Amino acid sequence: MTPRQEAIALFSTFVRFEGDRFGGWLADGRLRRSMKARLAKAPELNERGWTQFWHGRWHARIDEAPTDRDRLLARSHLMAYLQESCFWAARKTASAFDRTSLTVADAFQGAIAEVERVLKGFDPERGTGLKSYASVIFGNAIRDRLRQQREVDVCTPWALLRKVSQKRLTEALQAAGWNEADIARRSLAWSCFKTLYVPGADSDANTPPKVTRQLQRPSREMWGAIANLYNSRRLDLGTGEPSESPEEMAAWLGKCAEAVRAYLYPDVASLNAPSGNDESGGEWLDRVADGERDSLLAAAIDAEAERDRKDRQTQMQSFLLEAIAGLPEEGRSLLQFYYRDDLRQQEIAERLQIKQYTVSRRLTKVRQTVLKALAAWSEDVLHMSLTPEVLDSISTTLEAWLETTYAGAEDPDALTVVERS
Amino acid sequence: MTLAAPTHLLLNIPADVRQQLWQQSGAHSSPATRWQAYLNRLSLHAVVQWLREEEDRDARSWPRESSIASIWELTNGAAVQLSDGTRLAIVADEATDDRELCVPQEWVDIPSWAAQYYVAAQVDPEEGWVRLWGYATRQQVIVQGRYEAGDRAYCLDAEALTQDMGLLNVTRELCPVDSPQSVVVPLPPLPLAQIESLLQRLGNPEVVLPRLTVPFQVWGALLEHDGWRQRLYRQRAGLPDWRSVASWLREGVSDVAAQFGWQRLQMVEVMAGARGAATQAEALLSKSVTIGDRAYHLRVIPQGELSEGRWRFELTPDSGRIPAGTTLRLLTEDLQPFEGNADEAATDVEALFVDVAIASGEGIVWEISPAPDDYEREILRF
Repeated sequence: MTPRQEAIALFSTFVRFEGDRFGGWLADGRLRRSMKARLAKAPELNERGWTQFWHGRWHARIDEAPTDRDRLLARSHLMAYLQESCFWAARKTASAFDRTSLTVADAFQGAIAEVERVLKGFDPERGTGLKSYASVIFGNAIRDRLRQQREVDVCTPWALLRKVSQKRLTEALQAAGWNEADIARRSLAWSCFKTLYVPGADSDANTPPKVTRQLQRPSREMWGAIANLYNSRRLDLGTGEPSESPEEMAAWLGKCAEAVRAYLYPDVASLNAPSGNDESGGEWLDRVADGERDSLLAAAIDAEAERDRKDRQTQMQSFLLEAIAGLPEEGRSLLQFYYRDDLRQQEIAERLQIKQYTVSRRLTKVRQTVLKALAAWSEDVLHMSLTPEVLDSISTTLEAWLETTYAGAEDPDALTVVERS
Repeated sequence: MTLAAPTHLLLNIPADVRQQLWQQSGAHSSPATRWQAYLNRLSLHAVVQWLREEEDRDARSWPRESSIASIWELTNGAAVQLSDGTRLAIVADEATDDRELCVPQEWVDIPSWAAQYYVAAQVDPEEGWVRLWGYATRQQVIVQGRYEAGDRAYCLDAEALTQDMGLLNVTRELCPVDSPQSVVVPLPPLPLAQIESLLQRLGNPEVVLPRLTVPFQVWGALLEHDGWRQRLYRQRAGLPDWRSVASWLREGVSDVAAQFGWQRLQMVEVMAGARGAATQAEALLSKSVTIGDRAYHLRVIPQGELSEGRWRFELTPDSGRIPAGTTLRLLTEDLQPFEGNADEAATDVEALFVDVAIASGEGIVWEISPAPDDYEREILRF
């Protein structure tokens, strides 16, 4: 992967895949134009400043009142910016997994769609840079998707419906184009289905059901019970909500399962296509309003605190390296296997001839030891007062550090990204 | 196996344990509630084992084993109590997508149920594992969660959870959260008259989701009273009830009362002639209770003929004396005090006792303060 150097490229180009490999950077004309116009107003702004500027625009602080169009623009710029993080997360996670089931390109497309989650969860006040933070979120998103795709592959539609959350179901129904009222009805039907239709109904009192993923289509009686429950709860949706038949329930839930399946195997081309090289139209792209100019300036001032931030990062770096060096041999090698060698928990288990559970437990324990040390250090050296929220951000910082810096990458939040061997 | 982030915790449940937990999940009204009980037993077992091995030897389920099934007949969720008093509520779910944690309202808004932390657990009963993927404090659940009125649950987006199980114990140690029990608004008491009709209505297993059938404040108060919750559960599951105390004396203690520690003793074994209270009945009922590190016997002794309905409740120490300030208190079934219902130790004493006249069919709830370990309200029916 050739690193992008210029601010304009960083915030306006997208990864192009050739087969399953990096095939070059694809420029988006509109984003390029937008960056050019703003760069003219703030030529000094560094990478961090730009990140902060666009994240601030996306975050839509009330005093600046950006429009939806402005927010979308900011989101597109940040999506361009996060291409590398997403690419590395995809390569790491997809290659750690069974290659036949997920290509890097698929993993990438699935993960970059979660950029909203990254932007929502990212807090510039907390020590981690946007890229490091994003790499953790992208990694989790890819694992989530893989986990679910695996279920889709082995579950009957009825078993699959027991393995989604209401939130994911709603997302899938939205993606399938249902309107809000219909989604509410189907969610309620699903909730009634999940309450009543369980595996093991015919298992005897001695032996738990052996298979839950082969759950068969509910019987007529069961659909009747589901419809009854639905009808008794339907007024939660609003007065005058009509009652529904067992057949309707069966049809709805069949559609729900299809929607979940389709949502997990989306048409990748439709997810994230940059709008191409068209530089015409959209005069607003060039207009930099006064309020926007102020936030550019503010971002520049803030970015000057960069040196402090770098110092702290260097300090943290050496503290963590020392803390890890002080771990027992077993803990150290576990961290190396997992973060440096990109081994899956199961592969580590095979190598050490232990169970995956044991790997998971030991990993938790090792991370816990490092976390505790890092928390104490943050309190002593950085004078942070520890709250559950602060500890959560310390955990994200550690995870981002382990996934990127410790794993041997160059500083992920610096301008250049070097391909790892 | 499964794909778990390094910050998640994967716990194993061997096949023989799964079978055992399934066998314990038999007494429910329907396959659906049996399944709910099974999933909860799996997650609870895995978490308790893990905590005992890694963090706290004395970690245990809350409430205790004998009364836990009553919860899963009625709602989802389980809890672990640690030796420092911290409670973790565990919400078992089969969903694989880590998008949200939905905590049933009972675990948040019933004062005695509320926990410091709420843990999201994905259970895979087929492959035999539980994956803990995030947690939140009660404060976060209330402030950042959205209340879903239709399901009576607080739902928290994954982004609002701490998705690092290694952090749970660090957080507990470095910035402990106060016990929530004192800050949860108490539920208004239920009048006894309402109880019978509620139990009759909701005790019918054809009512699939009794928790959504009556207003939460009523439902919460019904569940918080262990005695009523037990009755509701046993009625729905078609299990024999506690029977009357008088029948325990005549025919032996009912199975369920025996599970709660009650036994019938012969008067001579206990009194050894010391007390000399002239009673014609030969048997009494006894139960061991522990307060802190001291063992006591709570006894229910008929005074005169059973038909007279005069009873003595008596608390005696296993050894030594009862410390000053300890109180034995009797309440009506709906937890109302009555005249002469309590005996408080002004100084260290040998025994505390309360004499009462109880009509046939009436229910009595006993309390001791300070509260015994694992105290649960029982309704003794006379």
